[in-house]
Parts: sequence; C-alpha cells; structure tokens
Amino acid sequence: MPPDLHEALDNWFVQEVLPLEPMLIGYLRNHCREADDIVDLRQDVYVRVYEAAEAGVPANTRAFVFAVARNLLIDRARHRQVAAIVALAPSGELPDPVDELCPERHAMGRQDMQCLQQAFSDLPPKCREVVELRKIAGLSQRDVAAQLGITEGTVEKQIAKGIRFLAAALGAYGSKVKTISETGVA
Amino acid sequence: MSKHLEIERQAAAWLARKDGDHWSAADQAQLDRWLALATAHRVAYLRLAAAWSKTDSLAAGATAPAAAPARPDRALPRFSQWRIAAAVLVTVGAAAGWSAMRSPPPEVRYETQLGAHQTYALKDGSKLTLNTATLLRARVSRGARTVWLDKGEAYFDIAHDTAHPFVVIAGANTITVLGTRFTVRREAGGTEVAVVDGRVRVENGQMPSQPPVILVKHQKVLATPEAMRKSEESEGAIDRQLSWREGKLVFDQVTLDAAASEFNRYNKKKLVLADADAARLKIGGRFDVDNIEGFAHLLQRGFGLDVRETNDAITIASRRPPAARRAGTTHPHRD
Repeated sequence: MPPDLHEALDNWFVQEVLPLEPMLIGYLRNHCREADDIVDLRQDVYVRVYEAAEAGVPANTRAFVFAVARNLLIDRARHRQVAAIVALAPSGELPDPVDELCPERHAMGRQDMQCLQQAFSDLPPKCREVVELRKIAGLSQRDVAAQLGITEGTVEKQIAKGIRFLAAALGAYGSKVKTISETGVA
Repeated sequence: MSKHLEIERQAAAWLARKDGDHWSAADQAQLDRWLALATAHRVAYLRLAAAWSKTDSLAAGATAPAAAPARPDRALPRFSQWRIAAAVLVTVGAAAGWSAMRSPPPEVRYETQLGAHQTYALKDGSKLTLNTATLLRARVSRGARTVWLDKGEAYFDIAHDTAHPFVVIAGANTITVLGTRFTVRREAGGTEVAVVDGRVRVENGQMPSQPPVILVKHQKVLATPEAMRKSEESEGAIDRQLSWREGKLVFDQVTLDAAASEFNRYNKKKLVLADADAARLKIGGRFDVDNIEGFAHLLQRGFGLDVRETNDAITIASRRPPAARRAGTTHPHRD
C-alpha cells in the first residue's frame, strides 16, 4: 500500500475508530465473560477494521466497528463452543450501537479531558513525575533526565509506561472497566 | 502474556524512543518496517500515539475555565494544592526530585481590553502589568513559574528565586530569568524584550541554531523569525518605553508615524497619516494614552498640520498646496 493511503487510513482510524473505544470495551464486556480477553478482542477488532478499510473505508464507521465486534464474538464463541455467549450474540438481539452511542460520543471531548486529568493523577508516582515534566512543563526527555537526576533510558521507560496507562485510561472511560489493571500495564 | 499486550509494549517503547532526543532517520526506517510487519502493530501504535498526543491538550490549557476577562479578585485561585517543578534548566538533586512535583499549577488567564492596563500579583511574589489589548496565561506557584504572552505587552517584576527560573514564552521565543524587571512586547514584526534591571536570557525558537541572547540592564533585543537584534538603550529610553504603566506615552524625537502607531495600540479611533511628509515629522512630549484628540489638536496648532476627524479615524496631513485648499480642505487653524 502506498504511504499516502496509509496516512489517510491512519487518520481515519485515529479520528473515527479510536474514539469509540469506551463503547467498544463496554460492548465487549457485555458479551464476554472473561475480562482477560477484552484487550485481545479489542485489538482483534481494530486489526479487522483496519484491514477491511484498506479495501474501502466504510461509510458508517460506528456501525461497521460494532458489526466487526459482533462477528468476532460469534466466531470466537463458535470456536470455543461456549453456548452462553452464542446465546447472547444473535444479530437480531443486539442493541443498535449507532443510535445508542450518539449522545455519549458527542459529549466525549470534555469527558476526555476529565478522564485525562484523572489518569494523570492515577499514574504511579515516578511515572507521573516524568510524564508531567515532559508533557506539561514541556521539557525534552534529556532535560527531564537532568532535572530528576536519572538517565535518559529511565525517562524513556517511564514515558513508555505512561503512554500505556494514559491510553488505557482514555479507553476505559465510560465503560466501567478497570482497564488499567486488566490490560496488565501495572 | 497475550500477543496483543506484548505488541502494545513494543509500540509504547517505539513511541517513547521517538519522543526522546536521539531519534534518527535510521530509527524511523526501523519503525516503519515494524509497522508494516503486521496490522496489529500499526493499530496498537496508532492507539497509543493518539492517547499520547491527546495529553498535549492538557498542557495547552484545554482544562482551564472558559476564557473571561481576568478579574483581580479571581486572579489567585487555589495554588497551594499544586506544585510542579516546571522550570527549564533547573538542576534538582535526585533525592529531592521525586518529591518535588505533584500536579501542575492551574492555568490562569489575564486579559486587558484596548486602552487598559492592569497590574496583578502572582503567587510567587512577582508582579506583572499588562498593557493594552494583552492576553497572558500563567501557571505560577512557588515551585513553578511559567507564563505565556499570547499577545500584547507586559511588564514583569519578578521575585528572586534562583531555584525556580521564571519563564516567559512569547510565541517562538523563550525568556528565562531568575529575578529581575523587564518587558516583553509581541507585535507582528517580532518580539521585543527590554531589561530594566537584572539579567534575562532570550531564546528564539525559530532560530534553533542561534545561541541564546543574554540581556542585562538597559539592553533590549528584537527577535524576529530571521534575526535577534540586540541594542543598548539609555535609562531614559527604557523609562519612556515603560511609561504606559502610568497610562502615558512619552516620546522623545520620534517620527509622527511611530507615535501614531503607539497611540493606535490603545484606541479604537485610529490616527492615520495621509502623506509621507507628515509621517516623517519628529515630535516629542508626554501624553495620556487615550488622549488622541488632544494629541491631534496639538499637531494642528503646533505643527500646522491638517487634521480631519471622523467617528473611527483622525487623518493627519501636511499643509495642502493652495489648489487643494480651494477645493475645500481648509480648517480654522491654518496659518
């Protein structure tokens, strides 16, 4: 695939698909008993959605994402022969996520900010110090290391950890999932 | 460990490395290869990158209350619960470092309307005075002192604190001080920094290869995208430049053109110079910033200039040739 197409798809994915993450996690949780699987399911949905979009970006992203999620749940249930989940997953009985999700999605911008603030204060202390100096004070990683008297390698590791925490917190918002512990970041 | 969690770890490691100071073209090529290897890599990376860039909005102050003209009584909210070592170039010992910072101080907006000027006290003991039509945001507590001059001009009287430099960010320019008095003025042509007392460091972000300019008492610099022009000023010149803090404009042999553009910073009604002869006239004197009519009157009487006033402008022209006067451009005060 040419790079510019990748770029367009990446933008679509970031702007249209990723904001659905709290709803997607909520949906997966409602239809999957094993909490440990949520992260893998979520990422499998993303992979399928992205690969399908390479052939053509769907007109209705939300409907598409949740159709993919539903199909994935059904496949998985058949594969594992877990009757309870199959019973939950027939297409006719699934809520229509499009209508259901509109108002929540609309309000997400502000909630994102509150969520981010919460996520910041929930970061482990060392990680938070590094992330705040880097992101809020705007210091470079080198300057963060100098200020805290630690190596740049340590700063980089804490940043990597912080990124995963923040992503998990953003995804968890509104889904009533303790995603941070479930994703095993800690 | 699940496949996806391992991928997420790798994606986070890539992002953190890219966020650092040693990212090279070879690194980028390697990352591109990793991303192309599997869609699972790409979506994991995009997800983390999106979350990481979202945190920029926290730093940009998206959480601050809606913009409203700053009121002095609201200028000093709950600082005490916030501490952050935000200052650039401070070296804090490792032991102290981990406990030196909690959350950043909240952002406070200060704004003045056209023609106004206002002084504010900051939590760290510093004082700042905003000139006409100025917008400034501050994150200041005892441990962190950063302000953003978004537009206009401000005078800073900075409380001395060697452990916590006071940082003024004016667009691409960063001004770092320990304790001093100076002004920063943003205009279309560039950012000007003038030092009344003490020592100030100015960095021009648009010229990263240029070393920072160090200014001491009575020096100033004009930072533009292309240059850093440093100059020595007399004490009087600096004082004149600061007379706006008393609501005055003080001119000493400046062109009428320059004087008019100073007045125009403070007033809705604008002074317009109709011709180059008028624009080149040198004038001096002390005026209230809002007394544009009085200034025009003086030009009329003292210099015999042609002055015409409408609702939103006062147009000043040199004396017209006789032909023009016959066409009806005379005024009562002409010679």
